[in-house]
Amino acid sequence: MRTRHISRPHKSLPLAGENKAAITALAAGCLLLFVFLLAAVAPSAFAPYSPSDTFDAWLPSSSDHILGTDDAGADVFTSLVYATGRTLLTGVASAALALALGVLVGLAAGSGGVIGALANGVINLFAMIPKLPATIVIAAFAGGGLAETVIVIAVFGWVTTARAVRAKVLHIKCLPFADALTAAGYSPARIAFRHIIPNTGEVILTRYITTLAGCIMTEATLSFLGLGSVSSPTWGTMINLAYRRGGFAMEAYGWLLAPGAAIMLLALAFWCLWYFAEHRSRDVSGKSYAD
Amino acid sequence: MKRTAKLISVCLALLLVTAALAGVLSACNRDGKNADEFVIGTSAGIEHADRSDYDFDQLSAGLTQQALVARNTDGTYSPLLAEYAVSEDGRDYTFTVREGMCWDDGEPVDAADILFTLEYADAHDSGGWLSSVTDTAGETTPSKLLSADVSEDGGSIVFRYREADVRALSDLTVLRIMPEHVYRGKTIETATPAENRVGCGVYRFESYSADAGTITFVPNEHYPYDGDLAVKRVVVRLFASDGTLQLAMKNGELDTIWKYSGGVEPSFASMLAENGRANIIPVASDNLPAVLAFNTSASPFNDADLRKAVVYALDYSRFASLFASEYAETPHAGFVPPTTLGYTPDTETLSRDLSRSRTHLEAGLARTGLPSLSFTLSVNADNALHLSYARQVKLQLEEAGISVTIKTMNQNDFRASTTNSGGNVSHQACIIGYTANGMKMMGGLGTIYMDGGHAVQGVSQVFDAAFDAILDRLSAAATEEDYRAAAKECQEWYAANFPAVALFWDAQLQVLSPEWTGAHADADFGLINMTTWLTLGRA
Amino acid sequence: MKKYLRHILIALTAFLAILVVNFALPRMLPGDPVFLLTGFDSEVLSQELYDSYYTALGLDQPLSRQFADYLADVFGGGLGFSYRLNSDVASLIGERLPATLQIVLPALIISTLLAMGAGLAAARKPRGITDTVMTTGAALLGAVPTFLAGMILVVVFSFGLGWLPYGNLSSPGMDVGTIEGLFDRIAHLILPIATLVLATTPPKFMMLRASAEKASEEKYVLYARSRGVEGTRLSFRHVFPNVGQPFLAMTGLNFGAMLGGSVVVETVFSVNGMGLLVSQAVSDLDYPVLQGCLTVISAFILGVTVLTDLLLLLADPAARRKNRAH
Repeated sequence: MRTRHISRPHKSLPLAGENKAAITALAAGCLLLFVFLLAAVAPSAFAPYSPSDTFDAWLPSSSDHILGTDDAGADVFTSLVYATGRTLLTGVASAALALALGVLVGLAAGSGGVIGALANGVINLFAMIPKLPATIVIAAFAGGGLAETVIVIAVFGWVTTARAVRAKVLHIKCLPFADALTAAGYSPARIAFRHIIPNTGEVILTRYITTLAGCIMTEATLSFLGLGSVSSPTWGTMINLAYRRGGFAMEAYGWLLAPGAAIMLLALAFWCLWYFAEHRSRDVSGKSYAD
Repeated sequence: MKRTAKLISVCLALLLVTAALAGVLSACNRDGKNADEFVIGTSAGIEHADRSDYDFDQLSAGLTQQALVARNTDGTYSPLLAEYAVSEDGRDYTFTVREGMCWDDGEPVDAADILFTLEYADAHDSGGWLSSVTDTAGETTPSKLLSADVSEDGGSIVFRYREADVRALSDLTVLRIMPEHVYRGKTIETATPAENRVGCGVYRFESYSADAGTITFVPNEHYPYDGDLAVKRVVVRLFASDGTLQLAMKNGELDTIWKYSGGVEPSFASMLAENGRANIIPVASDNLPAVLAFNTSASPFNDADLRKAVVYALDYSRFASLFASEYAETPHAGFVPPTTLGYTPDTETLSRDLSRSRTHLEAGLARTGLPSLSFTLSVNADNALHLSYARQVKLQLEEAGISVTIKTMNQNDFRASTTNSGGNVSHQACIIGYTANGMKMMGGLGTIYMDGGHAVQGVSQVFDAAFDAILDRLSAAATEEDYRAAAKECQEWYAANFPAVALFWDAQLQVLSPEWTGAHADADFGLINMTTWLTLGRA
Repeated sequence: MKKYLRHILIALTAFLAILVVNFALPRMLPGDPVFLLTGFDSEVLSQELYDSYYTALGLDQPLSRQFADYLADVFGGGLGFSYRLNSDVASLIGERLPATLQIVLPALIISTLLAMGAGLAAARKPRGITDTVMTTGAALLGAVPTFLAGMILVVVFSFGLGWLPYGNLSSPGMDVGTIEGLFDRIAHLILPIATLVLATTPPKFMMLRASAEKASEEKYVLYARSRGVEGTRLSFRHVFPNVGQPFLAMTGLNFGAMLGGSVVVETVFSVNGMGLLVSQAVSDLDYPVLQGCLTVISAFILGVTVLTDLLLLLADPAARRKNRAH
């Protein structure tokens, strides 16, 4: 009995099947994301109507309006397509900001010395602050423009990235090449920007993917509480409007559920990419998908 | 042995779980309604269910508290707590407390309570009854009353007004009389919840449960009514969101929906009617739910032609079909709805006329030297309905070559940038709703929303000598004829200058479960009012 | 030992940082601090009232004095005053906290157990069918906005099937003290708890799965495997103890996310708890209430962190041994 277990290798080298799964995930993720990007760049190619076309209000879904119409008689599918760009923009912008913050603080924290200790302290401090409640309170004070929303989401969204970057930096610094560079007399800044950052690329990429999904979710929650920017709607604000305008009682399920489904598909796309990236580097400091 | 013990313990655990499950299941959905219970659903944020709670105070106006008079939907007044008589010069109003009126703790209601209420309002509320008020801007508004004298027998009180006021009674419909014996030497803030719940209405407070989200009321045995009330208990169910409130109404679990100074949305009301869940009762109202107001003191809408370009580019029938009920009317250029005191039907009925819009647009652009008309439309982000209006305005104006940027703001920022209360009116145009109460303040006809000199409102920022003269005539009117003449001029001025435009005129829709009949509609408080309880019956 | 002390110290600093931010926000932001601190605007404030609030709020005092007063208020238990609700924030929160905890605590326990079971099961064969299905499911589930999940549950189970109540914590006239009342309470709690569990389990599951996968490649697990330990026993006896520590710490922090989620859940289910208080304060712009709630939530996080650290300290063999040696 026992010999069987001993003979079995515990950590299999990446198997053919796993590779296939990862590549399928990559393909699916890229395809989904490509569709979303296309919808963001050229909404008119997807939408059956122009956003200025109006029909009767509260129409149920039919062949003319696959998701029905909203309270003001706009075609829901058209609105959904036209909201793609804004949704991605909010997500991409806040995730980018969070990423930049996270990388900077993470690098500083990995650098050692007083700055490193300080930066590490800041990371640990922010990790301890309740993210969602703090975001809600700050958003209530800041008011609901696009820029404000992006900043507020980013302020609490960088912490896990900083941690991952710090771990990677510490790991890299233990490698022989870092010692060699220091011995060769390169300045620490040059080593950081020319040699360490490029090597943390993979961590940064995986973190960016997960942060993006998180940012889109946070935006949707802020919208639900009436704290998002509503003037040019995102999927989050679409659900919020549908909900507040009585979508459930009016049985406008297309208006309510389709943006939610779109958010889920987008998250799925990001997750597929993450799955592939994580598969490529199994040692990415053990960071999980979710924050 | 050990195995048996294990088996027994597993069986026991399973049994326990099953029993608990059965218990929980039996607890699910036992919410059967009693035949003599009337269930009101509301999404008003009631916090502690006593007089110190703004929303509860409004709700109790229809259950436990009474004002001196009530306003009917046809504009007439009915005595509520007191009978009234007006002197010939229109300056003296005598109120006599109706026979047998008692507080629900057994004390009789007397005229001293009325005087106490006036004094209390002056000292602790916005007041202005017997003492003058100075606002933030340093402007002083003189008191409405010169004196209020209680008769010797304590049963009546005479209000002597500073000037004859044809709309004097309308202020009194919302002034709920307070029990002096409870509040003497106290304020609402220092009184106990029990004291803050003493009332004199048809019903009295019974219980409040934050866990169950219910407030219940039972008949007030001291109320002077000989008949038998059909409703033996009123249950108010509190909802945190309109979504679940509407679903509960649609599911037949509520008899009506209550919202202070507001009705049910037309699209939802007609869905209820179609499903047989409710009968719709339209209540004519002086409020304007949907207004597009211009800032007439700032570019681009300091130019009348550019305002008219917008007015004639809007599709009023489209607004009515999307957002209003079947009782809606196409608005006139005179702005105020037909139920308003002094309304004249003579101003132009608004309709879309793109060529007329273009003529005004070209004239306006030529005069101002602007290359094109584009403006920012401010909206309160908390109001999802207003946001829908704004999106519709934007669509319609863009068809006429006018470009609109919608700017959403939170409540405070919206108020600060659209009203004088913020000290700096910075909007160009906004979507806003005007309440019935606001529409009749000062000179009435919504003038406080137009007048740029008004201390608090002044949304349209009108600074115009002709308009000021009309304001003076409105407030100087001692007889109804004088007032009507001035009101006509005011509406004609609106029609010529368009400081603001109503997107539609609509009645407020109240809904009542088909199980009940005989509800009375009150102009201020909808279906939940004293008369309703006396006339309501099972259908 | 030192590690845990440092951790507690950081939690304390984070709490203090929240206090400072709370103090600074209304005073730093553009806009009149009187309006920001009372939640009123000039429309309802006469000059006299404005002046009296200005003095009552201590805005005429030097900043250091204001901060000292603020700290005294927080630690003295007042937590500020809501002029809108005319009550001190501490008692507002105190009244509502039990309702919130009745939802949050069971949800925390259930989601922790679920995440633990699913995470360990998925990590047993990384990239196997179970793992792929579970992680994809979690990624999708993690992308459903909480309010949407809650509303769908209400529509299906309350209004569609009629099985469960659609809101509040009790039926009218029910006393939780009785058996019947208790069952009634449980029936009311099912949907809110389920919503919160749906919202908070996926991230925990992902975290546990990742660390369990790493741990199962460690030597001691290999050794256990080679001794023939398999399946559930391997997961719980050998893998879990080694990932339990960060998992517990995360569960502690997760408490904050739970309280955040309760803002949405209580709004959907009309539960008169702290979350509903926050969401109403957001729409009324009642800043003192918002700040008080943030302070309380932070204090909870601090408490939970200290508690988990103490637990971990007791459970940590290395630290225990060291203590015994002294």
